[in-house]
Amino acid sequence: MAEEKPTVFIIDDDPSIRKSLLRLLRSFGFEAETFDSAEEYLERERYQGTGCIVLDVRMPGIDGLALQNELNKADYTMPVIFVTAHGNIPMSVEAMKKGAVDFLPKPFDDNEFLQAVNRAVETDRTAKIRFAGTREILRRIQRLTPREQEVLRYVVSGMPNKQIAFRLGIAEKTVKAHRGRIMKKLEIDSLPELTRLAEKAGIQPL
Amino acid sequence: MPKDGSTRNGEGRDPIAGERKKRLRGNTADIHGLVRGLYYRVTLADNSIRWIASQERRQPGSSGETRRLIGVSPDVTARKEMEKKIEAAAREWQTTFDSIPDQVMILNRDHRVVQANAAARSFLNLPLKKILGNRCYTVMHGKDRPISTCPFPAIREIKGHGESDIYDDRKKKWFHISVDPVLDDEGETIRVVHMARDITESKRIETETFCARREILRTERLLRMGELTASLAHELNQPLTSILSNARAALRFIDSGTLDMDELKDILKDIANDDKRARDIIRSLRSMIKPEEGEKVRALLNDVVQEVVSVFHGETVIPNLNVETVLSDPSLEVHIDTVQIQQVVINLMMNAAESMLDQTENKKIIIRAEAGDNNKARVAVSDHGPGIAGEDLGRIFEPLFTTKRFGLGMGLSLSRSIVEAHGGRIWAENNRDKGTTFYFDLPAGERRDG
Ligand SMILES: Nc1ncnc2c1ncn2[C@@H]1O[C@H](COP(=O)(O)OP(=O)(O)OP(=O)(O)O)[C@@H](O)[C@H]1O
Ligand SMILES: [Mg+2]
Repeated sequence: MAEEKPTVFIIDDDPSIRKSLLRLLRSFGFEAETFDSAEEYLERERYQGTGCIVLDVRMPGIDGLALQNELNKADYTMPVIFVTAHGNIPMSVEAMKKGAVDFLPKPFDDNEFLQAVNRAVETDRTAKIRFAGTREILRRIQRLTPREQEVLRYVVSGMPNKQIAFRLGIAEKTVKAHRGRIMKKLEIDSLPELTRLAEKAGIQPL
Repeated sequence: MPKDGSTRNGEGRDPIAGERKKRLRGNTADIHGLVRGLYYRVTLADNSIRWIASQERRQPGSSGETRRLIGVSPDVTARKEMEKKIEAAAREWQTTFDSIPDQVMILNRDHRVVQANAAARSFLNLPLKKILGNRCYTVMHGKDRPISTCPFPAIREIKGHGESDIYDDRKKKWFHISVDPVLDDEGETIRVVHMARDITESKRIETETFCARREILRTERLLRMGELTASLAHELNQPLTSILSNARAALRFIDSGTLDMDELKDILKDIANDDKRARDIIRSLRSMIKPEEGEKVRALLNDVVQEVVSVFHGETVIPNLNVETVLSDPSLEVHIDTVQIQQVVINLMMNAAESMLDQTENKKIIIRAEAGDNNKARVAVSDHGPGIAGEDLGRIFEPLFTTKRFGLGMGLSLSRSIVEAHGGRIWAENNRDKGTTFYFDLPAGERRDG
């Protein structure tokens, strides 16, 4: 898959702000799309690539903070850069807590904006990669039989084969065979790797 | 009722001998042949009590010898009762007089004290003897002539009620003085009832109320200013953001060699438009600070001023403020936005009053409305305050210039924009004696607009 240009979504009710920010983002080398309201943005089909949202705090209808809430609820997370003509600190703190990466008071200069957008896109990229990785691990864990999954939990707890065999009432040799198949199915070849993977998949040691 | 004759006739039988109780006058001198008089009480058969003034008179003969003695014993019960009533009334009057909490003095035409009630005596802390016969201004104020704010001299002539508030700087107290003349049968003032009430406390409350009200007014204005600046900041930030972004984008396109002439043209057009938008915001804000353009009507200047003065009286509590209005030309007409011009007059009066806030005497505002030169109508507002320092005179009309703790410095700058919007002029001069006079001119007379 070719490296796609990140896309920035500009949501602002002021047309001249939309137009000028679009231009500025293009001059940075980003793709950008504009929306005149939060409602219009919610109409757009889900974007799968990396990017970020540039959001005006105060807008008629659903305002910036409310949109951020909606998106969080829908598990449609993308880093948000808030821009506002009258920022105040409590508001920015609230926005940051909910995952905004930046809070830019208008007017801002190009470098400030570029840095913020770069940071946001980077955040999104790593989040997406991490998410993709987790999904892959989960897919692999699905391949394990229930017995193998059970053994896996004992293994990541650091239990030796003998003890596992005793606990499960099976031969130590059988445990060994299970471990071999687990490593193969999960496409790994060391115990530390196994532990890390299990942790990513959310498998708790006993 | 016993018959009148019964006592006189009964004298010989002396039914009253044992009843003699009082001899108010015993044997008196032999005036007009009066030998002796007796004053006594008798109880009649029906148990009613009568008072008798019995007299024996000698009737001399030609050689001075006593020719005969005549005795009369009239019933004086009615007179006795009248006397008692008069005595009771006098006591009642004195008690009433003394129980009045205000200080009451009765003065003669000469300012000399004839009576002083208990409150006055205790206030002056002098025995009655030391008060009576002295001039009121000496005992009250320790002065050797009447004080200027005392209403007494005026009412002596007009023979009617008078009152005023005066400040006694010896006692550091405010008094409300009311004076009423007592007239004789010919209608001449013979006495003056002079009442003084200590109003120091209520004056203090008045002053506080005034200050509090003033502060509320200022806070409101400050809040309004705060809102205005907030909305100004917001509104202006929008076009500023666009302008900056457009300019930076253009620079980046140039740097990267990707500039397209049509795009550049579009960018510059957008920048120009946003700049105009910023200008419009500033213009509309100015009009927000300036009062809105209202309807101009033809009005009589005197009416406009008169109305403000009465509003001012109703709206402001300024201790002991005296407002004098001098309206010289009843036909003087102006073409104005009445509300705005009245706002100007209010601002000037407010400043005048505030300049004299700490003063105790001579707190006077004089408002004059008159015809000026060159077909102008002129309003002048004078005070007796401290005046304006030379270096400040040039700055007082600047927005936000103030020397007051809670001042905003908006009053005069607003007034100037209003007057100038009317094609007029406003200025200030320090008075030759004391205080300041603010003037403003407006075009006067008929305006036949084409
Ligand atoms: N009658 C006056 N006598 C002395 N000084 C005056 C007088 N009128 C105005 N000034 C001076 O001019 C300044 C500006 O007056 P202005 O009315 O513009 O503002 P302010 O009275 O201070 O505040 P506000 O906005 O509440 O009216 C005053 O602070 C005061 O120093
Ligand atoms: Mg003022």
